[in-house]
Amino acid sequence: MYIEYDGSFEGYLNALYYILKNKISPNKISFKKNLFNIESIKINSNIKIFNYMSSYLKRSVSNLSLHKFYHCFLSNFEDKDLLAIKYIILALKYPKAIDNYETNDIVINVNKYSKRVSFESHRFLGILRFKLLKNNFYFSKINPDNLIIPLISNHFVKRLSNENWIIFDENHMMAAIYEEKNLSIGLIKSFKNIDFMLEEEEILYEEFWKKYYKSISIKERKNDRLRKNFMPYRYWKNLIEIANKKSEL
Amino acid sequence: MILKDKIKILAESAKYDVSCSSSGSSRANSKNGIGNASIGGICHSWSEDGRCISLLKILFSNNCIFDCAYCINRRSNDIERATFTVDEMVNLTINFYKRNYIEGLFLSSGIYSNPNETMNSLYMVAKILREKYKFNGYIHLKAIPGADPLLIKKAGFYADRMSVNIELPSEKSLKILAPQKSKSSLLVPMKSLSENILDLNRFNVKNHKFVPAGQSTQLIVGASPESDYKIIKLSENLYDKFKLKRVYYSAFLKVNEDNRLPNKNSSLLREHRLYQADWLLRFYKFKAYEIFNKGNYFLDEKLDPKLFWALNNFDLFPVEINRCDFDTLIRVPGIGVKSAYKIFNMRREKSINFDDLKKINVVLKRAKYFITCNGRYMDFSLKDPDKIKQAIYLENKGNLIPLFQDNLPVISIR
Repeated sequence: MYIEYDGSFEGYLNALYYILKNKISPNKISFKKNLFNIESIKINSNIKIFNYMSSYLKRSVSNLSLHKFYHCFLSNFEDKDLLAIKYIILALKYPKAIDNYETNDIVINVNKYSKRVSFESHRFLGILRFKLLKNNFYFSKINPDNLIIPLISNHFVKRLSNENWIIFDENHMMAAIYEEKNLSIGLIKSFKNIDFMLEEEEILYEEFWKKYYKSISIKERKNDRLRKNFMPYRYWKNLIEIANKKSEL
Repeated sequence: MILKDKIKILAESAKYDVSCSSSGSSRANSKNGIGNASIGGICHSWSEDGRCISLLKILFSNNCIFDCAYCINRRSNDIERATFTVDEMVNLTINFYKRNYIEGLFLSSGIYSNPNETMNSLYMVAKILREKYKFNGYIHLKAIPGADPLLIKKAGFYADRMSVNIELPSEKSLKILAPQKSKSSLLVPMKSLSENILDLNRFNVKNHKFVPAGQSTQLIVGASPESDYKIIKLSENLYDKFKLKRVYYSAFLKVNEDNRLPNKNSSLLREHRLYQADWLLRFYKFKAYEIFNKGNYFLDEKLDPKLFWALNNFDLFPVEINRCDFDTLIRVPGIGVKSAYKIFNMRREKSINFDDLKKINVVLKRAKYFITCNGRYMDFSLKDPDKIKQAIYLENKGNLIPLFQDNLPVISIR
């Protein structure tokens, strides 16, 4: 059976509700369309069902299981939708034992997927760079593999609580906008009302940062492989200190 | 001198300080304030040498009246000199921080006129950051040896971490290489810091703690003849007596021509093994005398210290995975603290076999000589420590941690 939902976590919990209510075996469902899917079902994002399901899950499984379930959902693996469903069904069945059951294949994979997401979101707390715009917004463009904006936004709300800022995930076209102490997160098509002129002193501080970055390394200990391990090449284009180009957005 | 040049000179002068950690302090943002400190620490970039950049690690000044043999900034060296102003330093920190380049500031300095004046500048930077700008990011300050203890104490109320570098593992070596420093000029501020940390943090007052992330220190390995045992024993004392959070080791790199110094750079692998041994002290409940028992004074560069210990104490093995206690489990080579926890949790549900161990990423290649599952060895394992040692040397041959090539070493300090 092919299950279609809108891609949001709200929609996903609605799908879970449908599966549990109709007692559909996870082995019979698919979140990708293929030749063998004769039946197909479209799930609506009903906010009441979403609220019901989230409080139901919070009551029924451990915080750790819930955490893994959500992080697995945010990952970019092809089979993550089905895997997270299988996992949460298992967790509902064995709510106490599942966290100790590290050798089950489903648990191993969920651990792997959710770890990937947690790791990337932690990484971006560090390698995200803000540029100051003329309109006093700090703007950051990122290209993460997974959907991490919901996970990292709160960190910056706490840290830069008196500034206005935008974090824009170009890969998923998602943005977190923090203005006048209000945070909103959502999918976007484009930024129409924002003027992207850089503040003049911005260039200066970028120069200082590049200079600092160059000066702090010990030439005799150069180790490019180690650096790339920590800071993979795919992230470099938004990193002021090593991106091989002039400042732009 | 323009600011950009100052940044270049004073960052280059600071690069030999190893520490860049921003963990251990949790500081909340305040009303109208900037930033917070995250308990786990955050790395913001990695430099060309692969070391993490977490803090703006820089010297206030590289003018120095001291003349330590190993230090690039010593008085007798002919290098470019620069000194920041307090405002420049504060401004740079705030602007880097808001752009998320850094987690905070790690400020050290050459002793440019006298210890008190130098310490006062560091203190002023921290004070203005905290009070005028309400900056709640991480601040690591160097405690300048010889400065007034009262001034160091005052600075401690603004800093998250402070450090005094112990520089060399013995007083004798200090006398030869850093004649203006003495054991007491280094240990006295360390001791008073550790007493103040204990004393002033008894009351749980948020955001007004004294050096909440504790103190750390650093020493140079291989500039003087001390053994690994002596170094690790010193670290153990510092951890036990002064409650230090970290001791950093830095393989000697020759930056000055000086006949008091060895001709060769010290090996990076030795530095690495010392860090591993240090890890055993802090997380695996080892004592220095255990690691070095049976008359060894140096670690085996070809074996990690845990393996080195296990082979020297082979009569304590094998360990039965399904029954042994936690402290025994973490002493098995190939099993870390994390996998030990996993094994403990899993044991509640089922009896563990070798397949399970593989699935939770225990390094069976190492562990297999030292464990049994339900009374059985994994395969026909070697039961003679010398033969195991040979087998492991053979395995490692050719791929001896590619990270550490020969003659590729690092240094220290101020």
